[in-house]
Amino acid sequence: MSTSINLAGNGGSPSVFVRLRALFPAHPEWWAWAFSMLAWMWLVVNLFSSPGQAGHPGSVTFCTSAGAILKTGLPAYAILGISKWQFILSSVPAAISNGWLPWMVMVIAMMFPLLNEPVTHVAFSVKKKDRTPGILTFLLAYTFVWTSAGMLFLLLPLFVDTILAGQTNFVNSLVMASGLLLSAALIWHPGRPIRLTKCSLTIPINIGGWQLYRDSFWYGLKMGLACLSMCWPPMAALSLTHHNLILMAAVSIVIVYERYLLPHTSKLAGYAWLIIAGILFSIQMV
Amino acid sequence: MNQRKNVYQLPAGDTTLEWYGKAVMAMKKRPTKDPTSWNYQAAIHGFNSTLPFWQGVGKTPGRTEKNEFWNQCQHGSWFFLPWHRMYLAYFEQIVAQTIVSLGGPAGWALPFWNYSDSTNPHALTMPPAFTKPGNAANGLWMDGRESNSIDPRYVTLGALDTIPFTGDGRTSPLGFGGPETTFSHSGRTHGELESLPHDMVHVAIGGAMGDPRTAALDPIFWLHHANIDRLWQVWLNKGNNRENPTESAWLDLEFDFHDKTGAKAQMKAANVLDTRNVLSGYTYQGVAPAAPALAPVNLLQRPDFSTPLEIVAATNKQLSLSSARTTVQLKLSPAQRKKENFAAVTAALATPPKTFLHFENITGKGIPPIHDVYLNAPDGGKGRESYYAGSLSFFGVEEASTPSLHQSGSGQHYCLDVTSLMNKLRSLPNWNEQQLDISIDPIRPMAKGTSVKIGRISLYTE
Repeated sequence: MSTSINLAGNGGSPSVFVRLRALFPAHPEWWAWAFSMLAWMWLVVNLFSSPGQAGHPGSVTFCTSAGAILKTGLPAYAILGISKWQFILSSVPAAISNGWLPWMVMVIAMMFPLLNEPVTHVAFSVKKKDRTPGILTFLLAYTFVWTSAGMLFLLLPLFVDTILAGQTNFVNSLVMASGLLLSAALIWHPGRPIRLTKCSLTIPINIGGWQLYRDSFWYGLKMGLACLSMCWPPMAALSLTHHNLILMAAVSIVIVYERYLLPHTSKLAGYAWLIIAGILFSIQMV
Repeated sequence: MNQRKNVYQLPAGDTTLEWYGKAVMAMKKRPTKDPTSWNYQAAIHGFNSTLPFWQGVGKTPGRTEKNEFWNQCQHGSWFFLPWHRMYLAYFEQIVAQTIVSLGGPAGWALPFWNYSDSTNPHALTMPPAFTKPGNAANGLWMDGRESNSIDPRYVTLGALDTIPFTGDGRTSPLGFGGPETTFSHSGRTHGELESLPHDMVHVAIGGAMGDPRTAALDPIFWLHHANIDRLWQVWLNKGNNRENPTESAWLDLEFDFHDKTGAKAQMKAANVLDTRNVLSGYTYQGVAPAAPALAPVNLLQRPDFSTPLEIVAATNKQLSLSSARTTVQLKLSPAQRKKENFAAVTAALATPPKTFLHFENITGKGIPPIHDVYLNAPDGGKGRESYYAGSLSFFGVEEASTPSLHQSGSGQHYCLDVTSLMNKLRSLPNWNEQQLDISIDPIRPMAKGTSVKIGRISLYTE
């Protein structure tokens, strides 16, 4: 018979080490949180190593029309002497190649803390020796979905900035806040709680062999899509604001709080989006 | 303070059930949109307009109100017990007020049906007031029940021996109250008490009671749940580390109800820990009330039941159940350090390793019959009973299989504690360390249009 670690205190108090040894395997979701913490550290370190950036690297402010206007008073396409559409088309490769890695890091930082349930599901569906590969395969597939979708999110600010270059501060501020306003509005969409329940989806996972990887990957794809259908509005909002780090932190707090501490029909997150949108709009106007 | 009494120990001439029946009739006459109506109260637990029991329900509230107040019951969750305590408290308040408005006595309290009382020869039979007369003139009668009595194996109280409140049988041994979840209308592993006797009583009675979306339409529902609520206090009173959760996530999640005036009200688990403090307060006949200990427990100070279990076997194909016996061979492939848990022994061990059999991602249609599960059982004969591992009720399986506002559609999870049985099997001469034969027997044939599929069967050990 196996010997379980007795923490009940019979015959002396076990050391903190022994207690931790029993605690860590019980919380495989800490993997996801650890990756998230590392991603946040990467973002913060890069912010301070690039003080000219509004957000993290990849939100290349000067190379956007809005950024160019800030520096020169002219939109980028005007400086280059080309049309808006030529500018957009020529900027697409650079936007994606420069932006995909920071985007992926942002997804890991913000989204992985939402994965307590699926990560735990994968971890305890397979043998102990397979937990880490199972979790990593799941996270890989999940990140793959968000990174693929990220291509669109990376192009969104390029498109919007270029189209709206030269508009009044009011319009630009409104556009900045529009993603959060959309997030707020969608909280009241009747289909949203139904989509939110998909975040608790589970599927049977094979106990071993290549099927374990297949099932973990498939589950990661499904959860990635479920998450994307829920969280794309605030992530689009962050794109429009060039991934401001403080805003990222605020958005993360709201989505984590909503995920774990609010009933799925609660509208409280909607009010949070409205408040953040209001603050953002006010700051931009000033 | 009210006392909820054993329905089989009501004194001669007691009018508790008589007034209950009158109140049910009065509440049924109220429009469904009235939060104090019978239909509205039942719909808080579950509602689906397509089900026959809801035919003729009349006008229902708007979508926003329904989303907030209907289909709110918590199952497969550590909120199962506190949510139903809240639900019963408001219902009892509404019934009591209705009785007063009908000219009855004040202070009506919901009785409980203790079907597990081995000292009562009638305990397994539904109280006669609910079955006679068997017509609509009796407010306590309900059409469509499949049985008025319950098999004794479906009301055993092994759950009271479970120490931890939470646990899903995978990350930790199965808990008395259910696994940690967020709002959970349906779909996660049912806790020990919820699985047995709660689920079993629902499905054994059948009819409206057999489906969470209609169960609360049957007046016996409330006596059944008063008993489940009583058993929560009985469990706490047994002490020895039996404690409610202390996490804010459990204590502070608020649920929406209506009070006796029809006004919106909210309640959370922190408000219902001591029954004497729930609304006007109540106690249970024969059960000492007590304020449960709420000493905060540090993660590192928890007893050893937080140690995760390990999987040792699982099927790799979906399984469809039918009206005939279904058999499955589970190949045991424990890790080296767990092989000892499955080695043959010369005599049953004094403290066998905890072992749980899981039935995961169960999806289905209709109200399937209870299925009894046996391990390594011979094909027939009386001896088969000694290989009985437990039963699957499938209570609410159709709802759990359907993506909707309140659940993902992943299906149900059931977990049977097979520790004792495995201990016995290992000491038998025909024990095979590499294979476990599971047979799943329906207690009656599947009705037309009914189906059950099991996504995976798995075995976990400590």
